[in-house]
This record gives sequence, C-alpha cells and structure tokens, in this order.
Amino acid sequence: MGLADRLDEMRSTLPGCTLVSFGDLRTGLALRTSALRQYKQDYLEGLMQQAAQSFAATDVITPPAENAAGTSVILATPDEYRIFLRSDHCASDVLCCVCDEVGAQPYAEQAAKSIFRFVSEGG
Amino acid sequence: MARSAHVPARHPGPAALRLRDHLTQLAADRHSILAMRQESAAQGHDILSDIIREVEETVLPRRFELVCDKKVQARLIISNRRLIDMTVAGHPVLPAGDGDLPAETSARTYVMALRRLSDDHPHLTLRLAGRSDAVVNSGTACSALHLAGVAAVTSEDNQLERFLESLAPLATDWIASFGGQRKAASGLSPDLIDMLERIAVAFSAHEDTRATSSRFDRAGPTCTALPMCEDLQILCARDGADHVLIALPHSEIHSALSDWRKLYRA
Repeated sequence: MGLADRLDEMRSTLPGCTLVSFGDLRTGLALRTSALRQYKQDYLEGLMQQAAQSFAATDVITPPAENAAGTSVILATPDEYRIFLRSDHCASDVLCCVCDEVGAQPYAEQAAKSIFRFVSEGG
Repeated sequence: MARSAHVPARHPGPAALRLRDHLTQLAADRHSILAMRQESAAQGHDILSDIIREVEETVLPRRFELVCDKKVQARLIISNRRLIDMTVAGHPVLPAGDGDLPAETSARTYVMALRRLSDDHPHLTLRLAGRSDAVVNSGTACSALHLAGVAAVTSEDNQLERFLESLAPLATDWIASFGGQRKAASGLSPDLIDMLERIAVAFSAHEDTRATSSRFDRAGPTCTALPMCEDLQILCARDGADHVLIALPHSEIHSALSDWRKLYRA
C-alpha cells in the first residue's frame, strides 16, 4: 500500500475528516493529498504555512529535540478544525488534517504514526 | 351613493418604515438633515448600520467613501445588493481573485475592518462617490444579511474578551492583548509570562516573514491548542491584532475549542 492509499485510509477513518495532506514544513509544499473535494493549491500551501507557524510556537514551549513522538497541534477556525502532526522521524514531515470534529485529534495522532514510519522507511 | 372601502389598519412592516424614513428625509430641509447627521455622529452612530442599509438598497454598481474630517478613510464598492470590495488606505481588505471565500468569511472580515475603522475614527460618515464599473466577484462578495449577521454577533462586546472571561476561572495562567493593551492574570510567574510572550511573538514573527499575504491568511480568527506538558496545554486565540494565550488543563482543551467555535459561528 502506497502513501496515497494510506492517506485515503486515514481520511476515511477520522471522524468528519475531509482532507489529509502530507507535506514538507521546510519548503511549505503539500506533497500528497487525499480529499473529499478539490482544494486549491493556495489553500494547501496555506495549511502548510499555518502548520509551520504552529510548530514554531510549539518549539518555544518545548525545544524540538525534547518534543515527544507524534507532536500535534489543533487549530480551530469558525468553519473547521485543522490538525497538524509532525513526525518524530523527520522534523520536516507533516500531516495536515481538516475535520469538523474536535474529537478527531487522538485518532489522527494514532493514524499518523504508521504513515510517518512508512515514509521514514522509504515508502 | 358612493361607498368608501374600509381598510383595516395594519402595523407597517420594515420596508414601509424604511420608505417613510426616506420620504421624511426627502421632505426635510438641508439644515435639518445636517443637524440629524451631526447628532447621530455625536452619539456614536454605528456606521455599519448605514453600510448595511446601502448594501441592501444598492443594485447598480456604486462607489462609496467613508469620510472623517474631510479625509477619505476607506472606499467601498457595492453592487447587486452585495458589498464586493473595500479598501482601507489603498489596501484591499480582501484580495481580489478567483477564490471561493465563503460569504460569511468575507462578511466577518469586512465587519472587523469596519469596526476597527470606526474605533479609530468615531465620526465616520458614508457618502456616495459615483458609479462603478466593477462586476460582482463572488470570491469577496457578501450580502447585507451576511453583514448584519456578523454585526449582530459581534456588536455586544469583544468576542475574544468574552472567551477569556469564560475560561479564566479554569485557566492556570493567561496573558492577553486587546487593542494594544496588554493584560495578564494576577500572580503570574515571570517565567511563565516570558514564555507566553515568546509564543505570541513566535506567531507574529512568522506572519511578518511571510512573503505574500494570501487570502488564506486573512480568513479570520483562529484558536490554536499547543502541547505544553502532560497535564497542560496552551490555547492561543487570535482575532486581528488581539490575542489571548491561556494555559489550560489538557482535559479542558477540546471543550474550550468547541466553545470558541460556537462563539464565532453564532
């Protein structure tokens, strides 16, 4: 099963999830996305920027080296919840999920672990 | 013998009342109108109501200006009963483009910008500046209904302040900034204040370094939960230049995020 299939699987298992995107925090690029509908590239890059901003703030609290595996941040907008998950294998690997339920976060953390492991093993 | 029809008296509807107001205004002399406008300005008349009324009534494309002390503070374009564009000091409040920004989001951004403008210039007046050749851009347009909806929700007080008030009893610590005024929970340790301040700076600094200010970034207020330790998380709620950072028990985070969303979606 490739990355695209794993992202599809993650999206379908998260409650109220419409988008899961795997990207690179350094370049701000969304590399692979699974979504219920078409999202514009601007939106995907905006998500990556917001993830980078959130983790920059997280690193103020806990230096990156001390961050536990599966560090995640949840951001609410009036319209949706955005869950950002950073890999502990490679600090620039990030998953962004868009959900309409705040309770999706622990499920996203669980699902992200296997995807980050798959990517770090060269998947 | 002619019979006169008996028409039962009815309570006039909002449209009839608006028509009566317009006819009264048309019949009034210039000095009375000026006096009424000055009086309403002195009483802190809400410019937003004027704009919402114009949006509701304007079908053909028209340019409007918000003026204070004979100086134009903002320009608006209204067409087809939609506010389709607004610029403040020459900068668009929402960038024009081919995007699909929800009308509620556009309305929220316009209302926030108008409130800030109104706070900075309490004696703003709205004036018609002429025709416009602009066409409706669905990406940034919103109706009077959307504007009125957002205005009604935000009219009572600052939503972020209400959010802080509701969470303060649960919070371990908090800092906030409203209109440039900084506040902090009493008895806060200097180390924690320092950390919360650095988080606020990290958010601002990241925004400042962005090469472009995309539509995404202007999409409105956000509330972010950052991990801190096993028991505590930091909630960072931002609305324009205002922000609140609250240290909350982990168990309260999800309900706090839901409450924040309810507050801004209401």
